[in-house]
Amino acid sequence: MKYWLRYSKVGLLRFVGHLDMLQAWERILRRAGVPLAFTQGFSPRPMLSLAMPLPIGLTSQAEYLELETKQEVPDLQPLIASVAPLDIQVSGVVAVPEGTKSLMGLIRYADYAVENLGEAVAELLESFLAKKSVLRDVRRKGGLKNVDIRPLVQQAYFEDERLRLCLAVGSVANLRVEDLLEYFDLSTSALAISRDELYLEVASGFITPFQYIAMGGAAGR
Amino acid sequence: MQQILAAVEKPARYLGNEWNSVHKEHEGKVTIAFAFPDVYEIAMSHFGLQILYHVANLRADTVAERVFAPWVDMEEQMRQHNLPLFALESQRPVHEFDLVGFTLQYEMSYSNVINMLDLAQIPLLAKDRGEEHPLVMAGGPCAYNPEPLADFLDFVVLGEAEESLGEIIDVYAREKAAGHDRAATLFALSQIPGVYVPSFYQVKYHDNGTVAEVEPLLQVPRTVSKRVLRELRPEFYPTRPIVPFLGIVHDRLMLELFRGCTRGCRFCQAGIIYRPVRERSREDLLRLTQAALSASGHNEVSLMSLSTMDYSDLDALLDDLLSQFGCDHIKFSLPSLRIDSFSVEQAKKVQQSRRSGLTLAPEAGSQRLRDVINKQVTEGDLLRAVASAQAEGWQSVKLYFMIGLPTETEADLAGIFDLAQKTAWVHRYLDRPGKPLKVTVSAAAFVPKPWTPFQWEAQDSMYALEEKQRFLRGLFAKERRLKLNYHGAELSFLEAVFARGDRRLSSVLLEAHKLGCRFDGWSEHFSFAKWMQAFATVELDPTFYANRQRLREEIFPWDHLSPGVDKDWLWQERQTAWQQTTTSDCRLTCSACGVCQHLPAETHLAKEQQQ
Repeated sequence: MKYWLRYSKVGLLRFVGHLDMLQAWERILRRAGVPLAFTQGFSPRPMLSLAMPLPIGLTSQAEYLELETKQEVPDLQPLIASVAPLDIQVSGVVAVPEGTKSLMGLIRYADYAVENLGEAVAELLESFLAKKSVLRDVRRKGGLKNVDIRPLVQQAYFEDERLRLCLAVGSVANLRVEDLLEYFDLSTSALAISRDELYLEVASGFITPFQYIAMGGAAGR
Repeated sequence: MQQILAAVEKPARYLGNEWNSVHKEHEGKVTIAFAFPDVYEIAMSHFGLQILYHVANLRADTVAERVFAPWVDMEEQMRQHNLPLFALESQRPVHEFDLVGFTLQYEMSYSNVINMLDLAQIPLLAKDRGEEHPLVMAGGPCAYNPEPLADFLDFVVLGEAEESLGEIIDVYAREKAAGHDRAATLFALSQIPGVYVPSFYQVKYHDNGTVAEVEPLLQVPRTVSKRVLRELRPEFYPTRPIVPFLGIVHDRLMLELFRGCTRGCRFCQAGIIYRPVRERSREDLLRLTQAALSASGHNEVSLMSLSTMDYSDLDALLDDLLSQFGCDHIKFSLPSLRIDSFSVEQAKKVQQSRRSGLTLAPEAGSQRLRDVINKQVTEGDLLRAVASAQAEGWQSVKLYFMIGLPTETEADLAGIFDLAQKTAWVHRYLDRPGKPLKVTVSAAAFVPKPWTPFQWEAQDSMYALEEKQRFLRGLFAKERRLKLNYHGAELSFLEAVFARGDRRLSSVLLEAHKLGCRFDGWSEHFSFAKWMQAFATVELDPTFYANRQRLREEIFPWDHLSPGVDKDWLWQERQTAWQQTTTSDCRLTCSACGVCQHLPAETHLAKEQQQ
C-alpha cells in the first residue's frame, strides 16, 4: 500500500538535512509500528522517499513523504503524531492508487515565502521580472552552469514585507531558491524562508499532490 | 542563536531536541550537565553517557542535560558572539548548573575538557572557583589516574556510577539545602565510597621526580576504591535512548550484554578496571531490546561488550534475537570477534552482508609475544577462523596488532608480516582451493596504562617506534595484497605521558590550552610542536612519564585510586609475562587478582558453563 504524507517541518528541525530526515522518518515509522515495505535484494531498505529535498535552514509547511507499507494502515496519521517530534506536524495522508508514478518524479513547482524584505529588493525584483531572460551561473552537479533563470520564476510578488515566490523545481527544470536570492544579493542564512507548497503540472494548471490524487491520480491523466 | 546555527557546519549537533531527550524545569532541582569532551558524533556514540543521563533523569529532583565539545567552527562563532557553552536541552549556560560531569575516555581529550571549561566561562582551576560556580566532576576509565587533571577537577567518581550518582545527588541536595559552602560540600561528597577529591590529598615527590607520598589532608580515605554493581539491573538500562538527527559514529541501539572481561590480556586496562564479569540474562536482554527498539525506532542493534563472543548464552541469544526481530529487518552487529570458528559462525548468522570485512585482533606477531601479553590465541586458531570466514564468503580481513610491546624483537615484528601473509593466502596453507584475501593490518603503538601488569614498563621512544614502523613498511611494500596502517608515534607518546602522569602535568595542560591545543585526537588539529612547547615552558620532561622503566617499589601517582585489583597481583602478572607464561581465563581458574576478594561483587554468568 502506497501513501503520501504531507507534513510541516519547523523550528530547530530546519537544521536537519535531507538524508538525515529520511533516516528520522524511518525511525518515526518504526516507533509508530507501521509495517514498512522493504526493497528486495541483499541489503533491504524501507520504501521511503521525500518528494523534494529542502535546503538546510528552511522551514516548510508542505513536505511530502512517500511510503509503502506491507498492508493497509488506516490510522496512519494519529499513529505518527504520537511518536514524531513536535516540530513535525502531519497535515494529511492520502492512499495512492496503484500505478501512480513516484511523487519525486512528478513535482514541478514550489511556493516559497521569504520574510522581512525591504524596498530595495522590491525594486530589484521589478526589474528582474521586466526582463525576458536572465543568464546566471548556478551550481549544478559537477560545477557551475550558465542558465536562464528568468523562465524558472513562475511568480514573484510582495505581500506586506513578505516575498512570495513560485519556482520551477524537480527533474525537468530546477531553480534553487538560494540561487535566486543570491541574484538579489541576499544571503540565505540571514533570512527566514519557508516552503509553502509543492505542485504537479496537469493540463488544467498547477495542482497539489493531494488534489492530484483527488482527481484520480494516474488514472485521471 | 538561530543565526549562529545557520552559519555552522552540521547545526544538528547543537539542537538538543532529539527524540527521547529529556526537557525538565530547572527550578528547585539539582542540575547536572553531563559533558563529553569530543564532538557530537563521538559523544553520542558513548553508551555510558546514555546510562547516566537515564539514571539521573529517573529522579524527580534532578535535571540531567548534555554538553559536548563544539566543533571548531561553532567555537569560533561562540567566542565571536561571547556565547558561553550551553547545555543542549535547555540551551542554558553550563556555568549555571550545579554539577558538570566529564567523561574521561581518552587521555588526548584532556585539552578539550579544559577548552570546554573555558568556553563555559568556568574558572579553569578548581581553586579559583567560587560559590557561584558548578562543581566539576569526572569519571570513566581515565579516572583511575585523573592526576594530570587534578588541578581542574573538584571531584572524581571511580567505577560504575549507576548507584553512586544517586548518592552524590542526595549529598549535594542536602548540603545545598543546609547552605553549606563548596569546601564543606566537597568534604561531604568525599565520604561517599568511590568519590575522590584531589585537593584533599597532598602529593610529595622524591628528588628524582617520583612520588614519595600521597597524604590525605583531611579525614578522607587513604585509598579510594571503585564502585561496582553486584548485578546489572534492567532498570538502569536506557530503554529510551536519545535518537540523534545526525548520522553518528555508532548510529544504532547498543545492547550491553555484560561488563568486565575474564581474558586477562596484560596490556588491556579495560580488562582490569571493569572486573568482574557480570552478564545480563538472556530474558532481560530480549526484553530490553524490545523496549529500546520500539522507543527509539532504530533498525540496528550492536551487541556490545568487551568480548561479546564470550557471552555464555550467545548462541541461544542470537537465535532468539533473529527470530523475534529478524522479520522487521532489524540488523545485528558483533563489534568484537574472538579468533575462532565459533565466532565466524555467529558472525555469519547475524550478518547477511559480508561486505564489511572481518576484524580480528591477534595483537602480536609471534606465539612467544602473544604468551607475554596473555593473548591466548595461536596461529592455528587465526588461520582456521580466517579459512572458515573465507568459506562463508568474506573477501577481506582486518588484523589488529600492537608494536612496541614489552620484550618485542625484530622477529616479533616480522611475525606480523608473516601472519598477514598466511592470512591472505590461507587457502594454500590449509591446502584448499580459493583466491587470496585482501588483508589490512593496523599496527598501533603500545601505550602502557595504569592498573595493568605493564604499568611499570617504559614505552618505546618515538624514535624506536618510528624505526619499527619503517621496518614494517619495508616488509609490507613487497606485497600488494597486504595493506599496512599505523598512526604517528607522537600522539601515542603523549597518550603514554598523560596515562601515567602525575598532577604536575596540570600545568602542562594549562599551558597547552593557552597555546590553543584542542581536538588532539583529530589529526588536522593536533600540533605536537605546541605540546612540546608547553612542556618546555613549565620545564617538565615528558619522557620521564612515557619512556621510563619503573622499579617494583615505586609509588605511582594512581596507587591510592583502586579498581580492586592488587598491585602485588599485577606485579606477579608482570613477572609471569617475562617468563612468557600465560595465566588462565578467570572463568576457568581464579588467579585471585583481588577484585572479588575486596569488592562486593563476583563473576556472574547468564548460563552456567559446562566443565
